[in-house]
Amino acid sequence: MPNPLIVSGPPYIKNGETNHCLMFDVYIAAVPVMLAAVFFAGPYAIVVIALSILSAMATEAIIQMIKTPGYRFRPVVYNILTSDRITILDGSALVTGILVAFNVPPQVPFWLPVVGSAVAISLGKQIFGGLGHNIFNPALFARTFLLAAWPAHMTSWVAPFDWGSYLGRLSWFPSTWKIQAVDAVSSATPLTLMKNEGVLTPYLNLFLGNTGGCIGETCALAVLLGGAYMLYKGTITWHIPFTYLTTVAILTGLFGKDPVFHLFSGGLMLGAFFMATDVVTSPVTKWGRIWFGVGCGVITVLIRLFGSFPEGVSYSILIMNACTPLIDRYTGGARLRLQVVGNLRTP
Amino acid sequence: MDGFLPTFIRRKQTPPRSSGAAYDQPAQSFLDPGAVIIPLQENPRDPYQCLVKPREEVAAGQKIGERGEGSFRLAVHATISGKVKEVETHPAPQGVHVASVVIESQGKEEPPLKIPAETEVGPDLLLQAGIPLNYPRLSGGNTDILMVNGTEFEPNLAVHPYLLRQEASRVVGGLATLMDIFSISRSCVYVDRSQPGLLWALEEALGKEKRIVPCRVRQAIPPAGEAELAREVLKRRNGSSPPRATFVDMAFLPAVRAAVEERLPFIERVITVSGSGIPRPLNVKVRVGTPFEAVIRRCGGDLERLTQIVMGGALTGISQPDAQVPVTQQTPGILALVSFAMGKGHQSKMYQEGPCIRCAKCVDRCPVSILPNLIAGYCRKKMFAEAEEKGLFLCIDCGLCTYVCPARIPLAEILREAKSRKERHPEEVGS
Repeated sequence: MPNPLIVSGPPYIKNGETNHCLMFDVYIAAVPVMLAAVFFAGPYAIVVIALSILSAMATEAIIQMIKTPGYRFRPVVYNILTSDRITILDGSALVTGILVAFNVPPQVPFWLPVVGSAVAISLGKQIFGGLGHNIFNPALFARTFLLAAWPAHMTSWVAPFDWGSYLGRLSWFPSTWKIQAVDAVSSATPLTLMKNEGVLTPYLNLFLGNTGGCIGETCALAVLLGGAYMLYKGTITWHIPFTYLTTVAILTGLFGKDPVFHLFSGGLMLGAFFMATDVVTSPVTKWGRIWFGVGCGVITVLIRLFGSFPEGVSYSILIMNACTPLIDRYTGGARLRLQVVGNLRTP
Repeated sequence: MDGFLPTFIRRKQTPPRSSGAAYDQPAQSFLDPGAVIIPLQENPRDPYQCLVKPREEVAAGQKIGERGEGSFRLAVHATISGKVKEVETHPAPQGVHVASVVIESQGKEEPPLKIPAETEVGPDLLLQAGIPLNYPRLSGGNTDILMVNGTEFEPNLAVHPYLLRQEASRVVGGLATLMDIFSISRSCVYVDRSQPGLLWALEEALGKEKRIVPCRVRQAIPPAGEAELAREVLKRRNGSSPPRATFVDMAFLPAVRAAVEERLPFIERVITVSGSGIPRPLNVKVRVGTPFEAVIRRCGGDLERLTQIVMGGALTGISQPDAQVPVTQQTPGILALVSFAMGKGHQSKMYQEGPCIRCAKCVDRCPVSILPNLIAGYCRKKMFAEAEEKGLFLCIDCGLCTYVCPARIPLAEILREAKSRKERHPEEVGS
């Protein structure tokens, strides 16, 4: 034998999936949402998303450099590509950055997503020990942080972007690229309108995203497309989105409200498909995921209908994230049961 | 940056069947190896008796030794005609060195000798034929029901489907003979629900035989899960004690039939040879004792390029350090792998072990509903009591958790290590 044979433990095959692939699946699923965001929130959404991603990745790299003992800063680029300690290429910071950008209003000052992503990565993720160890969804953590710190910026909603007037005056001069106050007409979200004035936004506008709201949450169609892609790839399972949306629909119907309006308004779709299904902070057992979705739905409906806030998706998911270890403990008992058996004729 | 660009391929959650075509055609015969290595023991401490000396001429089917002691002594036969080269310890595919007889062929091909006619049909005949059944359990009324696993859990093996497709009548005949010999009244054969053709073949071969019941299962059953399967299937709701089941390897049933009808010893069996080092997977009928090297050569594999040789399946098999190990009666197949970038230095950053992101893929796939990620975490922190409480010993070593893990954590290896730790230091665990 010219080459010695490798001896290792079974199994000898793997399906080739990596953490990186899972994270990139979320990124691909977010592409339609990003396109819808640019269409309805205007070209400034590109700036917000890009700044948010850059801030998230830079924060992660800097924190991991500080954590690495004896790190040599000079060949930074080389080290980012090869070091085991710096994991910004695994895509988790990228996804967090995108989700933070989805959770801010369209006309925020440019530093708000930067601060938000930095907080999400540092206080939301790295302080717990990095990827896989955080208790709360980092993007929602950042959203609640921003909402508490700068409530005025985080609740100043504008109507969908007027591409007609913007393109009409666009020319080769960079001075005309700037978005003027004419484009950003102040407006309220459908949920605020519902809560304060009792106005029902048309279903088609809600479904397509032609309303006020955060960058990523308005277009339910794009979120559903992304969610379908993630379900197809197996990145998420149906348990959390299905039970979450079903619970909200049933409860709002029981309380005499319009279930369709509540399903498609606000951040429910984005929350159900992109936020609650975050693998790190959701339960691992099937029944745990189902209870998680039900809990999210109940808390969302309670906040929306009886709380003082118009929207409760982010708080509901954060509360259920805190319950995740408990849910795992009570649903993940060792059961001596072979799942493979079924359809048997017992002799 | 291998593994960096995202793919749109939907990753499989169960291993794809790589041996698909192997059972649709008759097995190729490879009955004339140059030399065979016949183990006389299963474990190095087992008692055995050797009846031949070096440089002695033996004929195929001649009894050359006995395995075990007491009333259940199993005969070991020469599987080719030739001259005994040596009687020495030799590596066996179970990963141990055992006493073995090496026979070199002299170029003569003759039909194997038959079992002497004075042996009556009974357990004694099966022992004389060298069929390694669980005799203490089968005889003496310790078994109420015989179970045969006709599903193939390993993606690279196709022996059970082959036997059902091509030799169903011999399998059924062997099972009926076994029930007659040990006076067992019932038996059942499990067939994968996704392979209805095999069920039809089995039902056709059964004919009017009412004692054997074909059962469909949702998914293939790993050999280690057979005890759980029996417990699950045979549990009684009204509190009476469940019937005692014994599993029989389907590959032995044609040999039982041949021993009783034609008085032939168990010297050849069907194995599946597959893997990236083999041009196409195929079933081969080989003599027991044929070295893996000869089988792989015969199937078109290039030994110079192989990096790993595995006895058995890709999920639970045993990796071999040497290509000179023999095919034993229990060997279901050979996996010959040519893999690139196996060492850590050759791997891209993306394929190295990462943190567990709790994606729950291992939990969803686990056939016994335990939480492999949680238990592996406990085992790594040496919290064996907690790991045991969470069901460490329910693990049946199927390997699916490692197969699907995107963080590339060797979950199955960690769990197996923790389980063997209990055997080595029973006082440390659970204190």
